[in-house]
Amino acid sequence: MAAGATAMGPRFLAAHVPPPKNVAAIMTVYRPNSHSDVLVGKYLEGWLQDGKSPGPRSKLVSMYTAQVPDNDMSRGMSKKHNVPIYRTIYEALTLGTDELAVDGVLLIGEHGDYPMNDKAQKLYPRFELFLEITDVFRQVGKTAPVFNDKHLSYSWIKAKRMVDISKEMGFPMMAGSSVPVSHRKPSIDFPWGAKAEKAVAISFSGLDIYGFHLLESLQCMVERRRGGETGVKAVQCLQNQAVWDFLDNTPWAKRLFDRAIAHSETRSEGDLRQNVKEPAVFLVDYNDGLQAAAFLLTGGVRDFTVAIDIEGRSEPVSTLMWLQDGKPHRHFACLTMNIEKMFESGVATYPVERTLLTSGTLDFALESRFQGYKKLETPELNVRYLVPKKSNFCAGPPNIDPPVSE
Amino acid sequence: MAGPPSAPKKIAAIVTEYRNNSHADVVVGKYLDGYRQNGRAPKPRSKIVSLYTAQVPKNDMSRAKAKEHNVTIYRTIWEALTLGTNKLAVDGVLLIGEHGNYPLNDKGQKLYPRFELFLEIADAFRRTNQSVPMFSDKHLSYSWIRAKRMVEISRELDFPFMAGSSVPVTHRSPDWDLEWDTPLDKAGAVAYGGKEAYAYHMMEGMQSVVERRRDGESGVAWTECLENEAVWNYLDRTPWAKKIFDACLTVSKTRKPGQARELVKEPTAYLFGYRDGLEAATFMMNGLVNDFNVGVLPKGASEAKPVLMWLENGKPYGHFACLVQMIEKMYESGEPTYPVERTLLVSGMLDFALESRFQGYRRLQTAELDVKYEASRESHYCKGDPVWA
Repeated sequence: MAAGATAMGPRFLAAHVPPPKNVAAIMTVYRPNSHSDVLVGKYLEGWLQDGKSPGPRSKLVSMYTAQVPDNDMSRGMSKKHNVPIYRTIYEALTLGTDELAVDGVLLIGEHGDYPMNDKAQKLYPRFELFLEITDVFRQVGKTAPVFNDKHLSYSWIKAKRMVDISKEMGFPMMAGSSVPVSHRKPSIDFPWGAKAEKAVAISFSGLDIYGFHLLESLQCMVERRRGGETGVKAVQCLQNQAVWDFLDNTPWAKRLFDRAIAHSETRSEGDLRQNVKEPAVFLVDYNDGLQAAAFLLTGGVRDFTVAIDIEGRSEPVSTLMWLQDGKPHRHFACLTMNIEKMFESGVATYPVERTLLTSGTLDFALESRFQGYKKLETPELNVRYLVPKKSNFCAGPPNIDPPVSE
Repeated sequence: MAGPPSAPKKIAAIVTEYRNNSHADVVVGKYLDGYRQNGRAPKPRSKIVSLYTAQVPKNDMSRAKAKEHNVTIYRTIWEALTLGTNKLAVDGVLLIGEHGNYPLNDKGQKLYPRFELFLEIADAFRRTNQSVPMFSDKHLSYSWIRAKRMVEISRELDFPFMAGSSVPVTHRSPDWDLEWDTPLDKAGAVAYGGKEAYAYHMMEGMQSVVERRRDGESGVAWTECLENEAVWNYLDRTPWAKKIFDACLTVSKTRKPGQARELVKEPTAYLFGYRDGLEAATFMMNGLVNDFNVGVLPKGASEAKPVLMWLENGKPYGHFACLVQMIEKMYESGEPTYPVERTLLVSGMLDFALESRFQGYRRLQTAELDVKYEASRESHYCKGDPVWA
């Protein structure tokens, strides 16, 4: 069913369709091309962010920005669209009253001036902002669904605590990347309930910033396997020559690597190993025996591809998860469509445990690197969850508006 | 009769940054290196057992200090409080959210994440279902709303909570406190420094005196900020404020010779009307003085009584030793040495005073600031002359 549209006429609209939800945006920064721009901007200016196109049904009613850089655009957008900016999260969620006055919260803790730690992790204050949001829930005695953009935290301990709090307080929570829900070429999903044996994912850019997207591209596929997700038992990071050595010495990885990268639309000319100066790979051993290798190949590709071996099939399932390289960053429309489903229904569209597991896997992968590329046993990562059969990525070519789920 | 002394308390230090001359340095450093930070006695009894630093600047000293003193630095506040277990493993928490690279908002407030760090500490209390005394350095938050919530949470989770500046608790010159239960009419202060960071110290210094007045503290009804010419005009037309102002200058140890009007290019005044009728006028006078002076005019008195709150002007900033002594009393006894409501009220006074300035120096009614508390009869500051006198 297409979000934001109905086949019925106006009188049915009035009778059967509940009023739009009110949403608060709690952000680190809101400046051009930030995640706030490409997410909140869709609420304010439509799927095409042109001020004319239809957009999500929910209404943005308040904003909070932790930082206000020189190129801030929140103040301008606030004025233009008559959405107040509050000095505290408490006020943003209660709109100056003593009660919860919103039906949903967008927590966008990406971008902004934050330090890096010695594990190459950017210390975005997502946990801290989440604690403030949930403290408001405690204070007013009411909760609302929360979407957290990207990984829950750079820290496994903090990520786990966020999910535990959402369970304790009983509110729907979603998180994660736009990559799992964007358009695919081909437009296929991992066959639900099939036994996965080996998996490869390929992407590019920074270990933390894009390593997260990479792991989510992998996880959104393998979580559909037989037995459901039961967690990860070991993680190891390799870099540079060790990456090529791993590929050369691991036939399944080499075969799936070639299959995945064949879908890339952005592969650089020439020899991959020459182009990619600092390759990295995250080796992920799952509790049920599945083995995965997720590669970051900056200089080699600029997109997301996956290939997974399935028991009983000679051909792996493989695809490209497509991101629009420019405005209006279509993949964020796909993400917003999925967030809206939660705001409307009160049920998470896909489990937050996906992002709990990928956040934890990433933290341990960077810990492995920090400890000299040691293979780390990860009993903590016994994250178990099931996903329904229904897929959630954007169907068809990326020019259907509004975006439609597969 | 006292029993055998208990083991020293184990303290977790949660700080924004720890570099030379930061608050973390001059507070935590006294635990590690003694009250004079020279490696020798006397030292506070409690032991720092864990450290968390939100930021690690180029001139960080936490890593070296931790190694030197065998203190573990943890990546999360949870781990710093549980020492890697599932239970609270410390007897007290020191929250030092001063200094570090944080933005200024449009009200001139530095957005130190004290509330955020407090929430993380409180979350560890919630998770373990245990709590321990906490001290939070300086104002609770730049935001009244956040400051109020911190105190509410401390009541909900039922843990001893203390906060504030070193100024009210350092040595005084003369060695004087307001007699408890004195009827007080007017009060004021003359100090220096940044409009927010040091104005806070000045206000809390004054509050620690006026809170002792008859009928106790019941809060502030209005506030107004003045700047530049408006400050001199106010002084000219308000004899009681001028009286207190002049009295303060007589105890200052750094008063520059000359006319205030010529020495001070950008004076600021923060005026307060307390709910019980007490009026206060506080002045930031950069160029005239370099210290903190408080003055009061008891009801019926013709002369104002001034007092200097005496800070050491270089390492090891001995006034922090006085603060640490006050904190130690809480860790040992389990009771705050003085009410956290003092700092709650002053945090609110400062937030609204800066709001007045932001709104074009409007007088603001502050019904929110109905903070009621009673100070103890006993004074809480370092008696006698300081070692740096």
